[in-house]
Amino acid sequence: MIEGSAIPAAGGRRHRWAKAMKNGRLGLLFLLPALCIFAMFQWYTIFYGLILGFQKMITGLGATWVGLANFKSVLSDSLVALSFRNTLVFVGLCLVFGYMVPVVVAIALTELRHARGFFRLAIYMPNIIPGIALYIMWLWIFDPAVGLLNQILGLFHLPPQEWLLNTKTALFSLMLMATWAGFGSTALFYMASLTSVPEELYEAAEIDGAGIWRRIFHITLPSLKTTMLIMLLLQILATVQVFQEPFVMTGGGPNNATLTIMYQVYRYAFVYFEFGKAGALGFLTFLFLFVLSLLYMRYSKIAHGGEEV
Amino acid sequence: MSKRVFVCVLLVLCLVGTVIVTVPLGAAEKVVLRVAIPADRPENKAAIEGELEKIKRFEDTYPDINVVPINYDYNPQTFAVMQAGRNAPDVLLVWATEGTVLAEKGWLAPIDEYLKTWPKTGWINPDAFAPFTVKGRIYGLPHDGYVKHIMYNKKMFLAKNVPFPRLDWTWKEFIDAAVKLTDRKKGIAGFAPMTRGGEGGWMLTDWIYQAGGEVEEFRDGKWYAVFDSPEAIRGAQFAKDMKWKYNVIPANWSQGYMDVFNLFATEKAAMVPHGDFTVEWVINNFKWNPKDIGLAPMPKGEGLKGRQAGVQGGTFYVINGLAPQPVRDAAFKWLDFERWSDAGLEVLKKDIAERRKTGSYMAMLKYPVLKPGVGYQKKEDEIKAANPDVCVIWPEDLREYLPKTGHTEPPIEAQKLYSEYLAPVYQALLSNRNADPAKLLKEAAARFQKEVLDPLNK
Repeated sequence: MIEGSAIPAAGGRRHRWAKAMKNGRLGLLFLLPALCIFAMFQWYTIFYGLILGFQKMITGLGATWVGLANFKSVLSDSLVALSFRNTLVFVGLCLVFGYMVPVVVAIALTELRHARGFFRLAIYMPNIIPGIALYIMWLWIFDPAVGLLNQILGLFHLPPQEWLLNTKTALFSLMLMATWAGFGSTALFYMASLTSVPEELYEAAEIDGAGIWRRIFHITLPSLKTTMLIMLLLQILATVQVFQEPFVMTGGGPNNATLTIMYQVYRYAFVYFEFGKAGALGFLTFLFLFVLSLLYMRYSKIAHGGEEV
Repeated sequence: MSKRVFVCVLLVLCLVGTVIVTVPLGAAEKVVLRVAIPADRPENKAAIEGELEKIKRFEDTYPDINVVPINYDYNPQTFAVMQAGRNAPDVLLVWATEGTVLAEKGWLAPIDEYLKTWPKTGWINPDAFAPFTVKGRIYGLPHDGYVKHIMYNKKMFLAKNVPFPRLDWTWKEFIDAAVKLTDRKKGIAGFAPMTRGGEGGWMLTDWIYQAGGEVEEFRDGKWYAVFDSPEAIRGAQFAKDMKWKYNVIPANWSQGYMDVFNLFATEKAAMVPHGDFTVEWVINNFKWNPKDIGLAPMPKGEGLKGRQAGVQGGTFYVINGLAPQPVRDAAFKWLDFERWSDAGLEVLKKDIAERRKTGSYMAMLKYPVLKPGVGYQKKEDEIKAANPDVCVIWPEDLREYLPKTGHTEPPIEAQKLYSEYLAPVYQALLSNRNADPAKLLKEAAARFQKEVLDPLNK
C-alpha cells in the first residue's frame, strides 16, 4: 500500500484496525475496565489512606490536617507494637510449618502413578469452601470439649489442648487452619512448574542410578527454585495482611494473642471511628509490603536473567 | 446539519437542567426529615406499620415537613459509613453505650435547649439522661432502660433441685447453683459469661462493681483509672475462679454477646448475663415457654464493699449532628409527636394483636424511664397485664428491685476501655491458670491512665 494514495475509507479503517491488532495496542483497550477498577479500588484507596494518615477525619463532618500526629500516636500505641509482633510471628509460623507443605505435596503427587487426578482435586477442595463456613468448621475442630483435634490427641492418650483459648497456641492454631485452607492452590502452582522440567533429566538420572531422593534434591527442587522464591514472597505478602482468621475465630484474643496489624487497622476505623489512625497504620503496612514487593520484582528479574516475569 | 442537531441537543439539555434545578427550589419550603423506623424484618411488621401510620398523622399535623422513613437498626459500623455518605437518618434510636463516642465525634445534636421548654421533660427520671450527658450537655432522649442481670433456665434448676435465686442472692449462692447445674458430660455450663471482644470488658466490670470497685474516678479535677483497687482485684479473682476453681463456665469460654444466648437457648448453659431484648429472642426463636425462664438480679459480691450491681444500659433517641437547624427542629417535633400519649398505646395494642396472630411473645424486660406515677406508664402496664397470652409480665418485685442494682458505664472511652484494656485481662485470667489478677489489672490501669486519661487531664 502506498501512503497518500486514494483508497476507500472502509479499507483504510480495516488497515488501521489490523495494524492496531498486530501491534497489540488494541489489547490495551481491553485492559481499560480492569485499569479503572484497580485505579478506583486499589490505587486511589492507597493514596487516600496516606492522606487520611495526616488528617483527623470524622465522616460527614470533614477532615482537619493534624500533621504527623496520627503516625506518632500509632507508633506509640502499645497494641500496635503487639500486633506487629503477632503478625511477624504468624508470618514466621506460616513459613516454618506451612511453606514446604505445598512443595512436598506437589512432588508427592507428581511422583504418583495412579489416581493423581483425584488427589489433585482433593487437595484443591478446601479452596472452594466459603470463608465463613471454613472458619466455623475449624472452630468446631478446635473446640476444647468436643473438637476433632482433641479427640485425635485422646486416641494417643495425650491431654486435650485449648487451641484457640490459650495465648501460646492461638496463633499456631490459626496458622494450622490457614495452611490447610491454602496449600492446595499453591501445590497446583508447583505442579504446573514441575511439568516444565524435561522428562529426559529424570530418565538420565535413573539410568545413572539416582534414587527418588537424589532425583528430588538434584533435579526437582532446583527446577522449582524460581517458583519457590516467588511463592515465598507472595506468601509473606499475604500473611502480613492476615485479618479474616483472627477476626472471625478469636476476635483478636485471648489477651490480644491474635491481634494482627490489619485487625488493629480495622479496630481503629470501625470500632473507634479513628480513621486518621487507621489510614496511618494502613499506610505504614503498605510501605512495608511495598518494600517486599520491590524485593519480589528484583528476585523475579534475577531469576529470569534480567527479564521481568 | 450535524451542527444544528448538536445545538438542539444542547438546548434540550439546558432546559432539562433548569427544570431539575428549579423544581427542588420550589419545593424547598418543605423540610425533609429522614426518620429511622425498625429494620424490615417479619417480627417488626406491626411496629413498622405503626410507624408509617404515625408518619402520615405527623405530616398531616405538620404539612411543612416531609418525612422519609428509613428502615434502620443502629449499628456503629454502618452508621459511620452512612454519615460519610450523608444518608444516615436525621433521628434514630441508639444504644446507651454509644452516647459519649457519638457526641464527642460531633455526630449528635444537643437537645437540652428543646428539653428546657418541653412539657414532658418533667415526666422523665433525671438519672435516665446520664449516659447521654456529655460535658454538661444532653444529647439523647431516653427511650427505655435495662440493668444487666442473670437469666436462668428454670427446668434445669428444678431438675437439679437447686433453689431459684433470691432477689438478694450472693456470689456464694450463685457459685453453688452454677456448680450444681454444671454437667460436663452433657456439655452444660452452670454459667456462660461474655468474654470475647468488648463484651468481655463489659462483663468484667459487672464483677468489679459487685465487689465494690469502680473503673474510672474523677477527683480534684482529673480522671483516674481505679480498676486496680483491692475490690476490683477481688472481682477479677472471682471471674477467674469460675474457670480454674469452680469450673462452671463453658469449655470453650470465648463467647460473644449472642453466643451466650445461643448456649442458653440450646440448653448448654443454665445461667447467662442478660440485658433486655434477648429473653424475647430466645422465647420467640427457639419456641421456649416463658414460664421456663427466670430472671434474677446480679449477685452480691464479697467483701465489706460488696453489693449487687449490673451495668445499666438502654436505648436513646438522638438527632443527627449533621442535620441543619430546620431539620433538627423538625426532628424534635417528631420526637415529641404522640410520645407517651394515647396514640402510642394504640400502636402497642396493634403490636399485641399482630403478635397474637403470629404466635410470638412480647417479653423484653425494660424499666421505664418515666417517673413513677406518670399516667402513661400505668396505662401501658395495664394493657400488657390485660394480654397475658402475648405479654410476659416479669415479677413485680424483680422489676422494682432491678433498677436499684444498676451501675452506670464509665464516662470516658467506655468502648475502648472494654475492648482494649479489660477484655484482654479477662481473657488472660481464663487462658492461664497462673495469671495474677492484681498484676494484670495494675498493668492495664497504668496503660489506660497513660494512654487515655492523662492526655485528657492535660
